[in-house]
Amino acid sequence: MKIKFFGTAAYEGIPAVFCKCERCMKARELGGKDIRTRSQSMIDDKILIDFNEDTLTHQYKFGLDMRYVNTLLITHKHEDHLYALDLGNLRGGFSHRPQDNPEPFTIYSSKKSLAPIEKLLERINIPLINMQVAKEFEPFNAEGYKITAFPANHDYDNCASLFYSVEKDGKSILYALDTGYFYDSVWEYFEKNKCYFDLVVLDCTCMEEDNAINWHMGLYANNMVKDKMLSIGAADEKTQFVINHFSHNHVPDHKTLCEIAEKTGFIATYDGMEIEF
Amino acid sequence: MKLKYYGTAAAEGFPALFCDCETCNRARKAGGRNLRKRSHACVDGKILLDFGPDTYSSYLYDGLDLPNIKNCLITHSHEDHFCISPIPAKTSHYAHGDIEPLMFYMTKTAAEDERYNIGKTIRAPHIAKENVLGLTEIEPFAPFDVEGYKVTAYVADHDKLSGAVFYSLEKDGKGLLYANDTGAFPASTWKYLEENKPFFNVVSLDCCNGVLTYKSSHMGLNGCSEVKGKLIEIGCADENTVFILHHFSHNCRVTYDEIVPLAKELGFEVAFDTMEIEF
Repeated sequence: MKIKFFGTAAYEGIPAVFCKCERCMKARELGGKDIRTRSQSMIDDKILIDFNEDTLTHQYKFGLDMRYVNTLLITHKHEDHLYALDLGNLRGGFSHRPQDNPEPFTIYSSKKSLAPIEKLLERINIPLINMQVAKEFEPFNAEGYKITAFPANHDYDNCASLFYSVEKDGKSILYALDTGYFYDSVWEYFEKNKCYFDLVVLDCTCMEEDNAINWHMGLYANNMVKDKMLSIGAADEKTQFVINHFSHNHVPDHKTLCEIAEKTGFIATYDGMEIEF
Repeated sequence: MKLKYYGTAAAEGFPALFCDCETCNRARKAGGRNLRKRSHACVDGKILLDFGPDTYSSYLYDGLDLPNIKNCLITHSHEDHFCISPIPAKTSHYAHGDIEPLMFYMTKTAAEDERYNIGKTIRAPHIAKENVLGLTEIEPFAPFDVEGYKVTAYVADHDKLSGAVFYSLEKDGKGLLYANDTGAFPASTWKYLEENKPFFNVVSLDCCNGVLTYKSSHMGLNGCSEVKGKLIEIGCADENTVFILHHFSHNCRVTYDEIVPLAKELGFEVAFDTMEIEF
């Protein structure tokens, strides 16, 4: 299994779109891995997670190829995770899908977070789009992958936000952003179903901010999640823990971030990073 | 005056995100100038023309100084010309330091287009109270001043619901006409141009349709040639005016490399992302 991180920043990107803080100006000067677009990742070139307006940039900069991608998981409807208007480019005339790919483009999310796409489809007919409500704790199959949606501790009342696990051929990944420390129901499910993950991606928006455990996490909550996963057997010493979804309000430059991550047993993402496991 | 193009494609980008057409695939293979982001440009590093979904990308990778832009002219409400999602990032939770207000100019119709909610977003109380964003409703054929530039909006031949206009900017005896998302110009625009005879050193024209001959809503080479001929005929341009083609759709059948020789024969330059012209 392979995951590629196309965008690794929180909503405003790094450098943030209009910001002149020291951190943003430094990122601008450093370039390279210090430049972070909005959050988007792909598993095995097949399962795309989140779809914001940087998707086209990811095509140009990091070789994202959407022609044969037929499965999209949306974590929630905040604009840095879903830019529904760009899905309008799936309509006839705006794109011509490959002749040997007759499959629909299936989008999974909670009912609340599919709403912006529903609104788009009221206005524009896009027969290729197949919306599916991902029900929490009810695994579904997409292109041979077993996918499970979990309720995320992140603007839940408004978005019914989800995070996902994706499993295939004995490999599994937990992709958990945007979320604070996991809800009890998630832990109960992990324990009851003896879930095990080879790779865990965690929201680290708040970095070293003290005790951030709701809405987003920082290293404090990341460590709590990691410890709990290890203690219930949802992870072990072979599991790779990855931190992702960074904000200019909290994250240092990438080099410093990597040093901090290494000390605490995490791997820090950057745009274009790939991990195979 | 200096015009820099940052994005030169139509709504889908070029190659289009989901597309496997032969034109997109040739563009992917060729790379370089054949890859186009959604349409936006900047005059003298000061006046941004449109605020599409790839504007942030131009800040990250192509040197657009977005945090310091104070004025942005919006042609119309369509999503490839105004992207709402970064708007709240101008507020104090997300933007720090010496933040100066950013003023958007557009027609009332564009601001109130219910499909996109641009006006409602910018004027939302939690955003408006910070005084970092503004929206000025403008009218065609009523010149206004922006940072010392005389700006005029012209009625575009494009989706009426989107409140489409295109713009000229004049300063220090130099004139630019930046006309994307329009078919061969509507009668009211020609009338104003004939009566007022502004002179343009550079004319940027929508060539969405490339070698195809449709010339309403968007133009192709033939529509652009027609407009060029008429601008020269009425004295708004002359043999020294540089005519540039812009805003290409993958449906136009030709990549950058392929349209350059065709355009040259007709007396046009072809825009590409990061192209700069000083005049």
